[in-house]
Order: sequence, then C-alpha cells, then structure tokens
Amino acid sequence: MVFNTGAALLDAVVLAVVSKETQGTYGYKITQDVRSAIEISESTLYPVLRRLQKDGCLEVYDRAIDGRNRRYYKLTEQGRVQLVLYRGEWGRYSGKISRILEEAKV
Amino acid sequence: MKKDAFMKELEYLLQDIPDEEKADAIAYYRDYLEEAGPEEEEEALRDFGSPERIAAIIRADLSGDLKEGGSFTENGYEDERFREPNFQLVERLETPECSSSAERGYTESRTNERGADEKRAAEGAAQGMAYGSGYGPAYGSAYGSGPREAGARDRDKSGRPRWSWWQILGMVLLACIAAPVVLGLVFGIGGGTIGLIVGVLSLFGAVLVTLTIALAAVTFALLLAGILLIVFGFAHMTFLPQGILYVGTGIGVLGLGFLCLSLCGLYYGRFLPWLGVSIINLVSGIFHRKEKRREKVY
Repeated sequence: MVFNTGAALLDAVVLAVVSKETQGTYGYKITQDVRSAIEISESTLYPVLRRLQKDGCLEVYDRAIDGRNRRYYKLTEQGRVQLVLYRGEWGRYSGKISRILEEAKV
Repeated sequence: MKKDAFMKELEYLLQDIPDEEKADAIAYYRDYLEEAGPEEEEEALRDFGSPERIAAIIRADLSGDLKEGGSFTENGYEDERFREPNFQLVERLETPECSSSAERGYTESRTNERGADEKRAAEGAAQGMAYGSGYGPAYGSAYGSGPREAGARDRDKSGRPRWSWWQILGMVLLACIAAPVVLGLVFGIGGGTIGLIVGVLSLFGAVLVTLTIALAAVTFALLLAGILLIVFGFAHMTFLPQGILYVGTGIGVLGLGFLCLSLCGLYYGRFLPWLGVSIINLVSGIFHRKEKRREKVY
C-alpha cells in the first residue's frame, strides 16, 4: 500500500469486522479478517483491541470451546456509534479523494 | 513446542507488569497461537518476532505510548518503533553507554524524517523499556537476528563491569578460605539430618520388632498359664477349697489370653500386612516420582 493513514482507520476496520458477528468474534479471526483488507502483522491487533475495549467500544467475554476458554470480542453500543461515525467520515473523505482522482487528466 | 518456549519467555518478560494486564496479554497470545493451529503457528511466531518485541509492545501500550504510533505504509499498517531493526535500536538504548553510538549509527543511515521518528520512539522506549533492561542478554542468542546479536554483544562489553586481576584474586582467596567452613556446614547438616532419619527409623523398627515378639509371647504365656491353672485347680479341688480359686483365676487368665489372641489376630492379620503394603507403596512412590522427573527432563 502506497498511502499512509492514521490509526483511526485501523480502529474503524476492526470495529467493522467485529460488528459482522453478532455473537462476537475472537482475536485470531479478527486478525485474519482485517488482513484480508490491509496488511498488518499478526502482533498488531492486541494493543488495538485492548484500547478499543478500554474506550468502551468493545466488550469481552469468555466462552468455553474444546475444553478451554476462548476470549470473544463484541461491539458495544458506544462502539456502534463510533463505527457509524467512522463510516460516515470515511465515506465523505474517500468520496472526495476518489472524485478528485477520477477527474484528474492522465 | 516452540510455542511453549515463546509463551514461557513472554511470561517471564512480563512478570513485573500488573497481574491483570499480564494475564490478559498472555491469554490473548496463547489463544492466538492455539487458534492458529500447528500449520499456521510457525508463521504467526515468525510474524511476532521475538518475545522481547511482543513484551515491548505490551509495555508501550500500558504506558500509553501506542496511541499515535501506528500508520499505514507501503507494507500495510505498521508501527515504526516495533519494526525489527528499529526495535533493536530501542533495545540498545536501554543502556546509556551505547545510546549515543547506536543513535548516531542509525540516524546517519536514514533520512531526517525517519531520524526524528526514531527519537520519538527512543523517548517512548525509555519509558516503556526501562523495566526491560537486563533481560536482554539471556535471550539474545535464542531469538536474535544478525544485528540484534551484535547489539547484545555490545551490551555485554559495556554493560557488564570488568573485574581487575586483584579483584579476581581476592575472590579466589575468599573462596578458598570460605570453602572448609561451607563444606563443613553442608556435610554437618546433611550428616545430622541423615543420622536423625536413620535414628527415628531404627527406633520405629525396634519398637515394631519388640511389639511383634512380646505380643506373641504374652499371648502364649497367658494361654498356657490359664490352662495350667485350671488343670491345677481341678487336681486340688477334691481336698482344698483353694482349688476353686485356682480354677476361677485360671478361667480369668485364659480369658485374658483369648483377648490377647484376638489382638494378635488383628496385629498379625491386619496391621503388619497394612504396614508392609504402605512401606512398599511409599518406596515405589518415591521411585516413580523420580522416574517422572527424569521423563520431564528429557
């Protein structure tokens, strides 16, 4: 990827990925899903998930799978509000950029 | 098994952060590797880099330095401070002695912008990594890549105080003087302990043997005495009223004898076999535990 963008976009992508699962989803799956859109290292998401959790955008709960606990992340109401905000912002921003690039004479 | 080693070291590196944070992080990364499964595990570990790197990320997050760290680059999202070569820079800065040279070396080879970035990173690292100093050398060889090992060597040279020959000589002399005392103490305490154990065991054995013999003897004697008294009593009954006394006493003694006989039954039939089995279990238990321990080692 050629473009550098702030961490807010990663937050937005993570929130979007988590929002798709109403029952919540877990660290490894989130990482793989985010990796399908942007290249991130496998170690990137722990601080991001933790911060989103501390900010109240995500909540965690443990579910027993195959005899051990797996930690699930779920979108909170606040997270949903934040995601809506991100989506609106991204729509406006990317729309403008796309228009300018499409209007360019090459 | 690489996974276990990784998690063990990560756990070690995080031992001074708050328990809750530590448990959370450890659970996440263990979970992650388990979800990855045996096939993907290798790749995930390679991507993680070293336990030190993961520990540094967790620490930086705790001290609130990650907020503005990451950005999207040509290679996707990354955080400059935790790119492997950069991470090495951060680690070298732990010791003040090599900070100047390391910073010079790296800023020279990069653009000004990058240099500024790294200074910011270094400041963050100074907060975040302060607790981390000292863990490095022990793990250097296991996980380090090329430049990292060089860094570890640097630190060895400058970080560890060098002893002069007279200090070493002094230490050797001290060791020589102290040796007899220490050895004496060790052997004395060890010998005393063994002696005590043997003493207690032999006392126990003596009591056991005495009891075994005495119980049989007393039972036998009582039974015999009872029978003899009864016979003697009957023999004298015809002309002496004492004969009745003898017979009565004989019956009493015989009763005591039977009581002892039943005690004998309990003792020889129950207690001794139980004792034997217990001792055998104890010994084999110790033996088995030793075997288990040996299995663990290999």
